[in-house]
Amino acid sequence: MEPTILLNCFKCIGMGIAIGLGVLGPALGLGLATKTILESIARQPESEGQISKYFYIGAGLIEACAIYALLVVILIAFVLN
Amino acid sequence: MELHIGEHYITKLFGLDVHMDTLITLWTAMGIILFFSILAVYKINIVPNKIQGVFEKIVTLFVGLTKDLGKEQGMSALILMCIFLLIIVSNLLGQLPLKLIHLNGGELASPTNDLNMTAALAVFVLIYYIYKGIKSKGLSYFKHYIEPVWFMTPFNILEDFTRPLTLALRLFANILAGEILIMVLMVLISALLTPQAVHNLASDIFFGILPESWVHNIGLFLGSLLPLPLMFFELFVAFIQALVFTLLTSAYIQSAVQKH
Repeated sequence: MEPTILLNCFKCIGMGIAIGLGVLGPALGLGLATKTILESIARQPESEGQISKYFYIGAGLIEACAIYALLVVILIAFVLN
Repeated sequence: MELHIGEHYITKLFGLDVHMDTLITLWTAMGIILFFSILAVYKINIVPNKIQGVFEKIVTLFVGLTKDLGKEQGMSALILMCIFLLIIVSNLLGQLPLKLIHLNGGELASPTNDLNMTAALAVFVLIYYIYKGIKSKGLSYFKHYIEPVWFMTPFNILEDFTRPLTLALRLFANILAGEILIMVLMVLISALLTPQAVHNLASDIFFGILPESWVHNIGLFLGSLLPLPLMFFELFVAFIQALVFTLLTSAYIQSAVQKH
């Protein structure tokens, strides 16, 4: 095989592995956070607005981890030659 | 159609590379903020009119956010408010159809999808909280580097590097990823609607009732609606990221100022 085709193959494999494994952790984290907020809202329904305010910020922080994986994938796809 | 990521319209100024597209949108955002601020304080009144009421709400929010800072509160509240307004206006500016304006190499987008801009903000935050710490505690601010035990010093120094790095990367990557996702969904329909596919659609599904050009145009229209939910999500992300940046900045300032 030509070297450029080989490089593209490995790039595709690397991108798939990077986004797949990188999204795993934030998915677990978001699941745990959603579980906890649902439990606490079920226990105290009147404090829903107060709790969900912090949940959105936490979700933004957790989501950033998945975005880092996406950033690495973008770097592999467009910057690496 | 190809995707162009991270390309900027570069101009030489005093031997330095200047990203013109980032600069244009950043100055537009600053102009918008300045315009509405002047509009809010132009006819200031005890009973606030609409826009003055909005600005009073914003100022009250940030005064409440920094109420633990004691006598350092005023300036920190103003700085946090400026950072928040600049980031949220810059983020929301990218949702306008700026891609219609064609620049030679590079596209107009939100200024926060340039790493240089977010890194500048983050370095400013680093300098500001070190300045606040030194101002409130004097030289004993540097004692926190050896605070729990002496061998934690490398980690404490490393913290000063990771904080601006994560601040800059989080904002930059969120905005860039949102724009790339929208762009990918937009390109998707033009990749799917090849002439062969249009021919098959017109003959198999519509049984040749509609002409092929109509099928192609209807497909393009429906496909252009595809990134719409993601655009609404991006409005939410723009607000959340500005809030996260501001809250983390206030947390860093508080940890630098607090007394033990």
